[in-house]
Amino acid sequence: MSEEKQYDEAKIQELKDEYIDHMMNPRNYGRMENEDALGVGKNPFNNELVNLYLKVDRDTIKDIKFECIGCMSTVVTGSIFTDMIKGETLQEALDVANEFIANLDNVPLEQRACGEMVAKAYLASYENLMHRRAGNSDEKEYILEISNDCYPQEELPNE
Amino acid sequence: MNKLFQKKHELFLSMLFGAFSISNDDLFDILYDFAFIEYRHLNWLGTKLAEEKQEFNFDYERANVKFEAKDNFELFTLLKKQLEDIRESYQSDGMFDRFVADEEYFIQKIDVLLKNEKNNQPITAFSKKRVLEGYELDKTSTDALTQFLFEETYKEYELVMVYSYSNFYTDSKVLSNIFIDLIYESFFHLKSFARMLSRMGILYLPRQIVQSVYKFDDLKQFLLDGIEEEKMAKEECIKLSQAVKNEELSNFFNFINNQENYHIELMQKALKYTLYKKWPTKEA
Repeated sequence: MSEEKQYDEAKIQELKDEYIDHMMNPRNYGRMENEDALGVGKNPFNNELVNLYLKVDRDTIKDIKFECIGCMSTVVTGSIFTDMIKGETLQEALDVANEFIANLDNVPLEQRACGEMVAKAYLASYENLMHRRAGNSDEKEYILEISNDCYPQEELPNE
Repeated sequence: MNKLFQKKHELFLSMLFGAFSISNDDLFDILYDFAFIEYRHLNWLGTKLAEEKQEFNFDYERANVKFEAKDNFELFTLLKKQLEDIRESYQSDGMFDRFVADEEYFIQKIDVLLKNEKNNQPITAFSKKRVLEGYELDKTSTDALTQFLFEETYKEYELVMVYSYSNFYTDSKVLSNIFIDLIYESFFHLKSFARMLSRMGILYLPRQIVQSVYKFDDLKQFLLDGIEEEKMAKEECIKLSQAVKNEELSNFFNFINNQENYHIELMQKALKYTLYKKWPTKEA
């Protein structure tokens, strides 16, 4: 086996191990009480959703939690995404979420809906925070629907 | 929110997943029986709280669910501590007296187990080795099996909890019998899948269930969604039985697939019932 192939296989194994670690121990998973904002990324095609809760200190994300009705791929994406933006500023997190959505075309089709639900849940939580700060304290949550449908692997359309 | 229900649920999960983590079948049987008795306690408590219109949830911080241990003795000690700690939360009546009596016995039995060094074996359920001993699976089969077990273990746990919660709130004998049947079926699947995860070194505690999944208003929609999910689970079993390239495992997943047919029938029966009966919650 060539050195390059060995390196590739080791890299793939490393990614698989990381993926499994997120499945076994998803970071920041669960409901948050007394949150400052709650955003929902919702799939209108099958009612799957991601709830994303924020606790902020001025413009910094002090704490973040998410929960989902969806598959393991959504759990893993949510785990990685929330870990990335925890402790960052709201604007930095917005940039990450928007970049996430802009790059969805490069993601396998069966994982696009999961990625979009997670990123949109953050965008929705940001909207909810702004509305609450503007005095709309009755808005419990803000919902954004996704545009990518969820395709199980066996039902992928020809691209 | 009722804190005792949460503590009882935590204890049930610790006992159940602690049982799943043990390699020795005899010791597994002991802890699994205890976990099932804890599940019965949880049912009695849930029914009582529902009657009293008290709120209780399955989703909360999981810090007190403790079952990950390096060996059996460490696990037994963890479980014994949780059994001792919960006692101060009980009041005094027939149901709580039964909880105390059962858990006194669990503690006595654990003490006996702790006296015999032969019962102390390493726990490998969290080693992440991803090898199912006794089966020769290639990488593709192993990956397919891993993904399936992660998805379905959560799903079966969710079904046990959702049907249990629904059962707390129904006065209908027909629906209750259907829910109980489905709970037992899902328990069997949960046990089968979680034991495989344990043997592969990737046992995990299923995530919390989003409240809207178990606190639903529309039984008909819940059943229709459930039937669709059962159909998808069937497809996953068929796909997996073809992908694993191992006769014994293929047979097992075909067997699970065939069981899903009856789940669909049970849910259709419940659906028929909802067409002419209102969802009979105790709160109604």
